Amino acid sequence: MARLRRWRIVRRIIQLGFLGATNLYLAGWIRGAIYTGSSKMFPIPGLHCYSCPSSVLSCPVGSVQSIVSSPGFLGGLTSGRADALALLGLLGLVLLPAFVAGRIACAYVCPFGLLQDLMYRIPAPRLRVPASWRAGKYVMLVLFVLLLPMVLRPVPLAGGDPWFCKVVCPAGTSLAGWPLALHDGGETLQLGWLFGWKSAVAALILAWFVFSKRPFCRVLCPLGALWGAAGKASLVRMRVSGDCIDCGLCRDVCPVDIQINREPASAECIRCGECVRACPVDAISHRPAWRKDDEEG
Amino acid sequence: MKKGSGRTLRDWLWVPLVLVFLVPVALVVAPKHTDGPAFEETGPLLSGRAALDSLLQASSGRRVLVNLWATWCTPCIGELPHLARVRDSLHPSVEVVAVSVGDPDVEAVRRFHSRAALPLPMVWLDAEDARRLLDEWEVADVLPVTMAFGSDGREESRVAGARSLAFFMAMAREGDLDSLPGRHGGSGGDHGVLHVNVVGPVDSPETAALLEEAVRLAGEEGVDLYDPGDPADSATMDSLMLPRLEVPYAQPCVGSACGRPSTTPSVLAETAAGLLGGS
Repeated sequence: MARLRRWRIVRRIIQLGFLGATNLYLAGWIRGAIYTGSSKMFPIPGLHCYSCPSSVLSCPVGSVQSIVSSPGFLGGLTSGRADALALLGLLGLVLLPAFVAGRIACAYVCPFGLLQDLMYRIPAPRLRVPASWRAGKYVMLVLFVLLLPMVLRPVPLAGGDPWFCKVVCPAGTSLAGWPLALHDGGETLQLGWLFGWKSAVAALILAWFVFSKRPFCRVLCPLGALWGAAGKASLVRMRVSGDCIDCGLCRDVCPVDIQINREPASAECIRCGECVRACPVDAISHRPAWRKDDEEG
Repeated sequence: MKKGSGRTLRDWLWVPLVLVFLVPVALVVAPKHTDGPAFEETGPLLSGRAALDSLLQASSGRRVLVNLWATWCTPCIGELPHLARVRDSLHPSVEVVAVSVGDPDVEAVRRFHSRAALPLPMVWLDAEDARRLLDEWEVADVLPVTMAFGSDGREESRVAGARSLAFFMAMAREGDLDSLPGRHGGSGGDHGVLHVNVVGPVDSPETAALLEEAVRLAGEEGVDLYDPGDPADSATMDSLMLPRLEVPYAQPCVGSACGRPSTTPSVLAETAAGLLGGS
């Protein structure tokens, strides 16, 4: 287990390093303002609100919604409009890590993943999330990130709304909504019932982090859905050899609660490598997709 | 391993957990669909000051709301259906006229008019007519503006910035506007904080000059810069309904009231001053 502990420290350092590197505008927290420099056109590979005061990158989920909800987007897809092409570029950029190693960014880059990892360390009763609930995030992706922003137009002739940001995202509420509202005192932000709804949602989801392993990543995160699906074609995959004794230790240490020896190709796996270090018989490893099992000996 | 059968109720709890988020979506969207019955007819689109004057003359003896708007002004587009609803409910005792005073090209107004199909008369004024009207009525360089004229033709009230259906109903029925939210401050043009959207290529000297003036007026936090050549900025511009002009420009806004796009620092300063002090 010493090897696992050492690996966890390395992973935490990498997670914190990415958190620091993508949140350089610390003055934003004091001024109650967001960074608007040119780096904001690039998405962070993780769920991190564009409006978080210190963030110097944009949120990929917000960016996708912003593009698909722009007026005339659907027509633009066929006529090669700039925003439609931008969506393809953005998706390519976001999917790049997934084609390398599935949901690896969830394990090392996503600040909301780090928050869940840390909050689950708080001693509390444990609630296991049924495997069937994983389907929720695919519905989130299709319905709230793509379909509704594309088709609902509450203001006639204007663009649509980023519905995932607007009614769901607890990262947006906790990292941007709450700090900016506190700073502003509600003076110009005109907080309404929707802010109350999102605050309640965020509070419940944050509380859930204490009791279950990464519940947001597994049940609700549209980015996790995107990366999980793309990860099925990733270059680096998980391999479990015949030495496995089915002890279940891999599931105990897994941040997303999967038993890798039973589902080595799971779209849920975030490739954190903890099971690799925890396995008492070294049966679990990362493996290039093109390498056959027998080559490994 | 998957267990195709034998799923318990707990296994399906993710469905309500996800679908519950449709409730706020429905609440946000529903008022737009349940404002009242669908409009049966579309009002005419007229052109020129003479058409506006004859329309106002034909409405003498009745209360009239005149709304000044432009196709590039998102708050204006958002509130036009409210004004249409007011006319639909109160006509003929009340007339409501929407006057486009910020569109140099009538085609943009024509497209909006046919797509929106609102049951209120719209009048398009070219730049010269619009300028003359705004000077004559002493309207600051800000949109939207809504003015209420009594049955004797005298102006009774005016507001800058977008308002709700309830507000316009009260305005049309001589209600107590002071008791309604939005009469002062917030979205009005007189108490808010100035925000400026600067649009232009980042390496252009004109953009730099506008940006410098915008920062002087609104501070760094009050300024956003958009480069139409940048795909991400371009998409954001579309979502904010920022107009696409041939030259760099800056558009000042206070709350939901926006001044016209200004192409030089001096015009920007003037427009912003009018916005902060006007109406």
